[in-house]
Amino acid sequence: MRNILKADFRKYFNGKLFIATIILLVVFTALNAVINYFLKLNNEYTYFINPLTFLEQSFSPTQDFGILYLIFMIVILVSDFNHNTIRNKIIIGYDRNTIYLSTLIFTLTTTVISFLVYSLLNFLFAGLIFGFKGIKAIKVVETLLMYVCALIFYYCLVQLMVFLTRSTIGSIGIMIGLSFLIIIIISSVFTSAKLNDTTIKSLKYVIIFIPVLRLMIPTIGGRLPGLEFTGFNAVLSIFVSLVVSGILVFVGLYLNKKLDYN
Amino acid sequence: MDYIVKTYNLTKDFNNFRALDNVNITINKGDIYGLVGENGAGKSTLIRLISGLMIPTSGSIDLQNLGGFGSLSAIVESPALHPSCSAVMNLKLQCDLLGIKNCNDRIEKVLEIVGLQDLINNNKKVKHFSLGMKQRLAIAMALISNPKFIILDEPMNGLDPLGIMQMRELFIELNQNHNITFFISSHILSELDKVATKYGFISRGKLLLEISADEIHKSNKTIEEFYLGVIGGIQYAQHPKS
Repeated sequence: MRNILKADFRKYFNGKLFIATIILLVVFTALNAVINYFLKLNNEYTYFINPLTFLEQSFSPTQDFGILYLIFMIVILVSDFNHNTIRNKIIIGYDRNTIYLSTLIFTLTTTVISFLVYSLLNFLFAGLIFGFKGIKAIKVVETLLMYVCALIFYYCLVQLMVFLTRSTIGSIGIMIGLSFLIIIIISSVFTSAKLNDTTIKSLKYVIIFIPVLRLMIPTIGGRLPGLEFTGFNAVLSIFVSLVVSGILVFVGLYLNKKLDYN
Repeated sequence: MDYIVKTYNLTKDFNNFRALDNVNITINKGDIYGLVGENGAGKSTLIRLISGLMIPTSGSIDLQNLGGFGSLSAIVESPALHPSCSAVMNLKLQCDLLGIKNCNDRIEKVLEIVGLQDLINNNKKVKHFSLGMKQRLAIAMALISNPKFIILDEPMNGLDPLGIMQMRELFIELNQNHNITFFISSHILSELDKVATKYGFISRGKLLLEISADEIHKSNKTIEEFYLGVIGGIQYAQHPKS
């Protein structure tokens, strides 16, 4: 597995998409900082802006950096099928589980590092502009862990889709389509339902058990009152994300063993 | 003679279509085994099954005599190359996959074997190579692990006459001087005739005959005549009115 990872990372660091990712990361961080600076200057919306909002929104797969990163990662993963290089790994003698797991480790490592850097930079700049008042370190760590775990789930799903469809357009279509469908559903729930205590409590559990929702919530409503996760709920959310991700990985391993490589 | 690959009743179904039907083949060490058959006969399916790319519906493949990791190389359909990397980078990636350290000398050696030594200090990307160069680079990648057995699916496809001649000479050189066993599928019989030491004739998913090149030569028939005799007989038996 170490050898496959070495080859995958060498290919990634020598490729254009790695440089493009860094450029995107810098550009979107700078853009967000400039927009925040002008918001502060004009005193607009500042009453509800919180650096944690930016930390959470940075993980959204349907916004600025997130959506472009999703496309890049799918292009990288599908290229292994398009160039027949995944076949090469099988022919050399690697078993399919090793190939699937090493690809997953590559995907998750690059993704988590990229999003951690992006979210922390956004958090830092937003904090410098709006101030860090009232933000506890433990809350930042809790939030990061919840979102990183939800991101792990999302990219486990991305890899599964890539291995099943082996198509760039197909995988991008499914993932973006699914993401926007979820946004539409959540938006309609938030706009139509009365957000009383029972609704919020139910929503909390829905979000805990469907990790992908966590990534979408900040996209539509920022930090909704009553939907903040702390303590037990945060730990439960992290645990459920990891368990569901594990299930997805097992599904991927099982299907990958059954599929032919044409 | 020691075999390197043996299949036992190998069968592959795609939904309701049987692409391969109880195929038993034996590839001995040192063979250049030519797999001959019409389009859709099951050649590529057999190659993919032996390469591990496909899962058989039933039957088994014995690769015990092949050796361990990296002993098998295959070029199936189009070469597995990273188009936006140079030839040397492609070979380095292959070394990474195989766990070979300090492979610069080895890269130079395999590029020389396939006649691409000009690319050692050249950063030209693979996407700008001709098909013949890509095929030769793919063979260099296959050679870097010192394989015992190389599978080639229609390796002459798309090559110009000079490229075909160079490929043929390369196969013979690798077989005779590097003891590499080859399994080559092709429908260019005249080219196979110049390299193959053994043939397998396949039609409609069934292996009709395995025969050595010497036996064909003894029959005083050309490979085309022999092939048509085997295939024609079967087709006549299945469609006597035609």
